[in-house]
Amino acid sequence: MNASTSTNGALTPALDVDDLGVSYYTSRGEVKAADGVSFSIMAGKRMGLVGESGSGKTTTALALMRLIKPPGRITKGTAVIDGTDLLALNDEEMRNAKLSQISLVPQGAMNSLNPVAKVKNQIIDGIRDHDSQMSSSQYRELVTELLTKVGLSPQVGDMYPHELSGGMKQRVTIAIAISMGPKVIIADEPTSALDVVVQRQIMETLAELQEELGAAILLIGHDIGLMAQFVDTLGVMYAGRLVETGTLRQLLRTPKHPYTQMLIDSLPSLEREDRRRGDLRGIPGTAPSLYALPPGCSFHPRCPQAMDVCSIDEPILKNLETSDSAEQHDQRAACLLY
Amino acid sequence: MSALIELKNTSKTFGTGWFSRKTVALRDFSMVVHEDQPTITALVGESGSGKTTIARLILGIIPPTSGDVLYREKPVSELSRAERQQFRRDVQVIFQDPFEVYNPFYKVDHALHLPVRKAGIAASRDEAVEIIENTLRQVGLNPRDTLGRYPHQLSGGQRQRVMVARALLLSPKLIVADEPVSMVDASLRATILENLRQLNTEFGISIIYITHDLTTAYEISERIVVLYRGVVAEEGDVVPVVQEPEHPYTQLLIGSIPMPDPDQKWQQGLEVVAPSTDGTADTMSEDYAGCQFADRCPHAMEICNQSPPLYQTATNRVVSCHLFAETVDH
Repeated sequence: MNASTSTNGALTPALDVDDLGVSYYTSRGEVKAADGVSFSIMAGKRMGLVGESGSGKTTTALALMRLIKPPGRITKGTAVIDGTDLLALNDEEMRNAKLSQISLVPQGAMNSLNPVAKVKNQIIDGIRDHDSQMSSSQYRELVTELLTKVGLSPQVGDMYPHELSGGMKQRVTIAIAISMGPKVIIADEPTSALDVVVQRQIMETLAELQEELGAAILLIGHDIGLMAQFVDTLGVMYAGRLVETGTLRQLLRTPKHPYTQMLIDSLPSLEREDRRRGDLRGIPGTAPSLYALPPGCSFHPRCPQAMDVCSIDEPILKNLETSDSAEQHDQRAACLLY
Repeated sequence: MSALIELKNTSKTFGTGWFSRKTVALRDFSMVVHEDQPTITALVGESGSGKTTIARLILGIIPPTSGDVLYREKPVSELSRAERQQFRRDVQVIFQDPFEVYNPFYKVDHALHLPVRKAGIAASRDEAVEIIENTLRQVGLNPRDTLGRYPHQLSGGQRQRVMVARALLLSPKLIVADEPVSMVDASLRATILENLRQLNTEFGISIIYITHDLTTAYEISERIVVLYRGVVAEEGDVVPVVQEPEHPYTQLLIGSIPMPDPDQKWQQGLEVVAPSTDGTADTMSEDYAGCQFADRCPHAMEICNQSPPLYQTATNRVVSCHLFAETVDH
C-alpha cells in the first residue's frame, strides 16, 4: 500500500469544510467542542485527524454526518461535497446524502451492528432507503459483491454479528459504508479495538476500496503510527481547534506548532536505539477543560515557548512560508510564533 | 541469586469441561524474577494470549491449575500469615484502567492511607502523611494538588500516577503493571512510562510490564516475552528479539506495527494468513497438542501438529518453533 499512488482527482476538493463550529449547551454553560475547524480533502486522497480525547476530532466527524444530538448543535460553518453544503440540508436531503455522498465507518464495530439482524439485512437496509426498486435477487447479488469486496465470504451474509470476530465485524461496517459508492468516507478509529495484525489487514482493504471508488477518506484517530501508514495529509486538533495541518511528511518531519512537536517527540519508536535508553518525554500538564478554556491560545499553559502575548491573542490557522509547492499543500499552524 | 518470584511449569485452565470445553489460558509457563537483579520484563501479546493470566497468578489472585507459583521458594498458597503479609508488600500492581480502580465515594487519600495502615509502616498519622507526600513527589505529583480530592477531580494521567505512587508506597521488590498506559493519551503515556523506568533505575524495583504494544515494550524493557494463545512464542533480550525476530508470529507482529515515520511503510511481502474464525476455540482447548500458531503460519509443516519445545537459539534467547529444531541442540 502506497499513499502516494492513490488516484489523483480533480483540483476541486471532494470535501471542503469551512469554519465548522459545534457547541454543547449544558447547565454549566456553552462548551465549544469544535470551533472554527477548516480543512479540505481532494478526491482520492486520505486525510487524518489526530488529537487527544476531548480534542474535538470525533465531534467533527459526527457533525459532518449530521449526527450531533441535543444538547449539542452545529453553530456555524459549511461542509461542501459536490457543490452541496451538507450542513444546510434538511433531514430528508441529508438522509439521501448519507451513503451516496458521505458515509461513516464507526468506532467499535461490535456496538454499531444490530445484534438481532442478519448481516445481509443490515447491508440491504441502507441501500433500500435510497433505492427500493431493486428486486430481491439484485439485492442478493449486491450483498455478495460487497462482502467479497471487503474480503468476506458470501456466507457471512446469513450470519449474525455475534458469530463474527471483531475484524470481520469491522469489515461488515466497511461493506455498508461503501455500498452506495460515497464520495467521502469518514473512518472513526476503525481499528482501535483490534490487534496490529488484523488492523493492518483492515486498513489495507479500506485503502484498496477507496482507491477503486476514487473517494476521499477522513481517518479520525489518536495513533500517529497508523496515520503515517495511511494518510496523505494530517490535521492536529487541540481543545476543539485545528492547530496544525499539512502533508504527512511536513507534520512528522518539520512540525511547527509546539503541541505537534511535543506530540511527535513523545512517540515511541523501534528504530532509534540511541533514544531508547534516553528520557521519555511526555507533554507536561493536562488538556484544559472545555468549560474553562485558557484565554488566548488554549495551549499556552503547557507550552514551553509561550510568550506574554499568548495569553491575550488567539492564534488563527495560517499558511507558513515553508510550504513546498510541489506537493500543492501548504503547512498551516495556529501559533503566535509564526 | 535468590528468586523473589518463580513460576514453574505453570498452567491455567478455565472452565469445568462439563458443559463447555475447557480453555487453556496458559500452558507450561516458567519465569523467574530475581531479587538482587532488578529488571523490566515485558509480556507482550494480543488479547487471549495469557498475559493477564500470568499477572493474576503472580499476584496470587488465582491459583495455577498445575505447576507452582513460588514466593521466596515457597508456594504462594502455603505462605504463613507473616510471610503473606511480606508477600503483599513486596509484590504490587498497577492496573489498566485509572477510572475504575478508585472508589468514587472516597477521596484519593483513602487509596493511599489504606496500604500504609494495613502494612503498619507508619507509627502515627503524621508520619503516614509524610510518607504519602514524599511518595507523591517521587512520581512527579504535587501533594497539594492531589490529596484531599475525589478521583473525578483528577485527570486520567494524575489518577494513574497516584496508582504508581500507591504501588511505590510499600517499597516493593516487584511491580506488575498491567497495560498501565493503554487508556492514557499519547502526551501522558511517555511520562508514565518514564515514571516506571525511574522506579526500576532509582529504587531497584523489578517491573513486569504487560502490554499489547510492542513499541512501548521496546522503549522501557530489557527482557521481552512474546505470548501467543497461552504459550511463549519467543523470549529474549528486547533488542535482538525486536530487531531480528525468529518466531513467525513475532515476525508478523513486528512487521504489522504501524511506525510513525513516513519513510517506514508497513513491511511489504509479509505473508499474512488470517486466523480461522473458530481457531481460538480449537487450539486453546485442552486436547489440542499442536503448535498454537500453525493455522496462521506461512511455514507450517507436518511436525507442527506437535507442540514445539523452547529451542535455545542464543544466550538468553528461546524460540518455540520447529523451524529451529535442527539449527540448535535442544
